[in-house]
Amino acid sequence: MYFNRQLVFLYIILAVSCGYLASSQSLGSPIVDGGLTPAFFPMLVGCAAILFASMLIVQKLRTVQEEVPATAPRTYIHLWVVVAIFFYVLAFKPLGYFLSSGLFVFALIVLFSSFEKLPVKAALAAVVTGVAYIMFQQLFGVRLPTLWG
Amino acid sequence: MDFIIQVFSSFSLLLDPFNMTYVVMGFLIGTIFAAIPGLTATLAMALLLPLTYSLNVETALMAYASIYMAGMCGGSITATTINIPGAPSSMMTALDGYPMQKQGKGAQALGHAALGSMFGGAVGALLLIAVAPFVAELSLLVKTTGKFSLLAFAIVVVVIAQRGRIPQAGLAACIGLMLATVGLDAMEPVTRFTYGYSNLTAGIDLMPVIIGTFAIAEVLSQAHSHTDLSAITAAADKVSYVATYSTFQMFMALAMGVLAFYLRRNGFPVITMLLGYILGPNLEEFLRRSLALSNGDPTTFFTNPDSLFFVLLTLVFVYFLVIRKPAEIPAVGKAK
Repeated sequence: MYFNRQLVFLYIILAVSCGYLASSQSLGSPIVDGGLTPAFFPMLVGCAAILFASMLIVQKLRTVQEEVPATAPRTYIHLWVVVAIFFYVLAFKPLGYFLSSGLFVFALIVLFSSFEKLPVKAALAAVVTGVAYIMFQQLFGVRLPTLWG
Repeated sequence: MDFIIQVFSSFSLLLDPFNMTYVVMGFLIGTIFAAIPGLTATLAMALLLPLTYSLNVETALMAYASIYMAGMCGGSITATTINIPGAPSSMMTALDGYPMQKQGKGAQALGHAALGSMFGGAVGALLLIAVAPFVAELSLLVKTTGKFSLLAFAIVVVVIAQRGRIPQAGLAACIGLMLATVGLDAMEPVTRFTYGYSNLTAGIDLMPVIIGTFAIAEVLSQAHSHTDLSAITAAADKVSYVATYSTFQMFMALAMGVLAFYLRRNGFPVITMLLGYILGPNLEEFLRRSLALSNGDPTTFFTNPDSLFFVLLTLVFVYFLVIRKPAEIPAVGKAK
């Protein structure tokens, strides 16, 4: 009951808001000699965030029992997309544009479709990477990292 | 009179082939993005934002106006042909356009939609041109305290306009305001919430916030149904790189995308978060300046007429949107 998915998200937001408020207190007193310091506004925002998050948690706890559990199967493609983007950003400079973007686009095409016709998908990824390179480097003059400098 | 002459002389900018090329490209991009369900002209504008850095202001504005206007109209193509509005603004077009398509009058429906869009857009632009000088003069009357009250009014209205989910909107606005406070303080040489990480000293850049909120969150939301999103994701992340040539901004765009995705999934309005982030720095600065000018006296917000006007306007909106709730409008999708 207390660990419904929406509730977990709200608990995380509440924890972040509390951390934010605690960090803002380390900036010093909010008011000095009648003037507002850099700590004042973050404290105000932190308190408001805690208030709203608490309201939503209470609201959710009251309704969570009446809710019917979802019947749709859970999918985790969005989490794999996040993982793919994370490794793409990590590899972007060391591997260069072509290799990192090619692998990334290929991974996403496979994620969004199925694990078959891989040579066709690899060719498609190469075309997308090539077109994007022409667009960014040649048309818009953006210097992209490559293995050859 | 001078103003009108200036407005008409600006049409000569369209004679420049370079400007015209960007206008035509803008129309094409806006139409394509709006016609594909799930992609919007806003997303196209977010993706192309850093590419305008190398353009002069007039060309960039014309290209953006083209994308926006084509985006407003382009969604009617799929609304008419396959009954799926390509953009939210085309929902009403689907009600008449699709039945006309089934009667074999699809081309006529598309023509009507384009003509209506052109007429509405032109009248709106003419009205804006006509009132712009007066609005500019009026804006000079708003001083520091008035500017704070105006920004506070904007945030309050954006929050309370989310009827039925005001606490979610309030929390989303707070998250935006929190993001806005990261980095160097605007008035004193103090860094906030950087936790010793030098990349955050200059604050969180607008680019990764916009790319994350619109492009990456959209991709994550639709991860199941579209294969054309792989190219969009790759392009979106590269756009963040373009802004600063830094992979830090790419990570930031990813982080913002994940945040916006979970906010959307849990029923939070991400536009409210974005507005909090955009208005936050000025809101804080004008609050502190106002109180510094009045020696810490908060009644300054009620004694200055410009500020009082916006305070009263806020109360009027609170009364009509929260206290005296308007009647529910039936959902469009349920109409026969």
